Amino acid sequence: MLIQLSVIFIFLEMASIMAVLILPKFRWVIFALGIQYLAAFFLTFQTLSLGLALIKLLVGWMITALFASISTTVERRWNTEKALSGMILRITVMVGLWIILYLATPTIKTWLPAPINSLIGGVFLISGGIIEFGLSNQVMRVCIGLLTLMSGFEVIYAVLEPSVMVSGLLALVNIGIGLVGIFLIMRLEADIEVVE
Amino acid sequence: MSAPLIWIVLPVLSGVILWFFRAFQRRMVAAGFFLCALFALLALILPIENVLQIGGGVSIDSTMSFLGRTLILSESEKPILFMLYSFGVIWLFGLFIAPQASQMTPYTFVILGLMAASLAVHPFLYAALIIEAAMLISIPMFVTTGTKFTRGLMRFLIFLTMAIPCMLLAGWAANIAEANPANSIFINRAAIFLALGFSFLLGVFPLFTWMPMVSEESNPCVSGFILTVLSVVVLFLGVQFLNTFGWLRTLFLLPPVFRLAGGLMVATGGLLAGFDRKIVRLPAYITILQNGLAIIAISLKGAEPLMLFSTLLIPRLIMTSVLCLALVILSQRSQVENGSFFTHPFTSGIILISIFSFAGLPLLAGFPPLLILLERLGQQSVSTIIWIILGFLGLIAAGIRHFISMIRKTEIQENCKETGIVKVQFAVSGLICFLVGIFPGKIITVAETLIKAFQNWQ
Repeated sequence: MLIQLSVIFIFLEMASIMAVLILPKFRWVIFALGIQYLAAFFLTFQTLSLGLALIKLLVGWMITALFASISTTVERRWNTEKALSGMILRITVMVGLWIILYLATPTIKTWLPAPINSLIGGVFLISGGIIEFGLSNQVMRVCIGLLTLMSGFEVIYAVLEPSVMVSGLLALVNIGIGLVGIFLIMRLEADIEVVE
Repeated sequence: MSAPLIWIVLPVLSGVILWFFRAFQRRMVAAGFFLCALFALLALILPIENVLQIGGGVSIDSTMSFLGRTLILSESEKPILFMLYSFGVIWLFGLFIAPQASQMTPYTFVILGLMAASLAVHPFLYAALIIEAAMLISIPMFVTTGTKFTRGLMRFLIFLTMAIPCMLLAGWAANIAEANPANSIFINRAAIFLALGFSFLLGVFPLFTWMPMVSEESNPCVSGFILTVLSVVVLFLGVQFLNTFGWLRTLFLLPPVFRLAGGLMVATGGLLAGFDRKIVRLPAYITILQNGLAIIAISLKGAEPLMLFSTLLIPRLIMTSVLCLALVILSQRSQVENGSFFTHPFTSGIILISIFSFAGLPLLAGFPPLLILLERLGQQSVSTIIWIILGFLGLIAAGIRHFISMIRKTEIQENCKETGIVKVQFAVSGLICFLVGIFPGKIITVAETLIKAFQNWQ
């Protein structure tokens, strides 16, 4: 049952990654990020205890809430790429990468012995994160990309090393990345206001 | 009382307390300087696991438990702690003459404390996470000291975060390989993940692009501190990893891969320094070059590589701090180095001395370790020497280029001048550089004590 459900969550995760990549409104992106953490929670829950998996979900949602608190500031500079070609490029690159990764899953499985659903979910998140920060210079996009990458890694690493301490430290690193993003956004905004 | 409490918890706490005194810049720097000197002094004199004859006999434990894991700082790790906090002392002393960067004082303590924690934590795989935490804390330090553009900072954050999964996976694979030494698959995987992780952290070719960007965008004092501390601690972690997992050290592919990676780093660091006109990027290129040399030193066969590795570190720590400080002073001028010899002779002079010392010119601090390295390499890998020569030619070219800029007369009048303390500091630093170059014996003795912690290597 869990395995069948996890397929649904992989699709949910893919939809949320795509939404984060292409949506023009930051508020929608925050919502998609929240969904992404929920999908990652269900994938992690298969291998970790409910408590530890819940911690990851709570940390993710906490960061999402922090981002939501500065959404009006980010919104002003979020939608810089309105061109359709840019959107098509992102979708094409992402879908192409997912196809390659799906085909390479048996090889990846020999390297990282994890259940196939966790592995696919994890590598899809990692690739989504890399594309997110690889195709943008915006502070918030880079931070969301890094958080997505870490989330994907956590899905895989939870299978390999279900350690409480590592989970705790990874949660701290995630919160740190979120806070750094918010700090840089607020600081940049303050600098721009001073110049204006 | 335990050693991790003294050299990890207390420095972090000191940093937090100093943060509340940011309004009193000079006092904060002075307090920071004395506190850092105290931690360095304690690392020199306090015995660990031996009874101290104070108040009826006090013993300092080497171990502290934290969330079910252990932080261990033993007697053999004291020289590394001394080196780390002495570096902090040199840096904080520099802040007296470069008040623009004084806001970095509290962060310095937190970063040094966390770096000490990354060396002390057992099992090793948590070190990557602690380093990431330290680097995340360093980002406000960049911004509060005047970093305007964030492209370099963003790349810095990306590369460091990318290193975490690799390091954690390396730790996981290494543990499996250690439990089952016959399984060579996991040995190779551990080596590959580890190589990737360290490549991100040390800026191995071509993953060094964030270093020049960060150097250009931020205060030279801040970027120099982060680049140096990060590189040195990561290099020590690498040595610790190789020291712990003997099977990894004996992999037949390791020395040639290390030599190739190190050689490429030396060549690219030196050549990019030679071709780049912006002097503020110089500390980044020198960091790449020095990291490359350290990796080459580790790749050597026999018992000497560690000694050579630590001998290379000492002049590097001294000269990087002086170079970055001099760059802070020159960056106050509207034309940075153009014609600086006429307004800032001591500052310009020490920059040239630093560059040529890093390039290994005779009689300067960088010469003795480089001579030993080239001598050993001559016996083991001549092709690596070609990479090194290429890099050093680039660095010498950079020195000559900046020297020409410094002595070029300019029309624009610069109002700023060197103060007395600046002249004294740079004169003394220059003298130390020559003394170390002429009498390297003392440095080699210190270098030998630094590697006491890695006894398995022998």
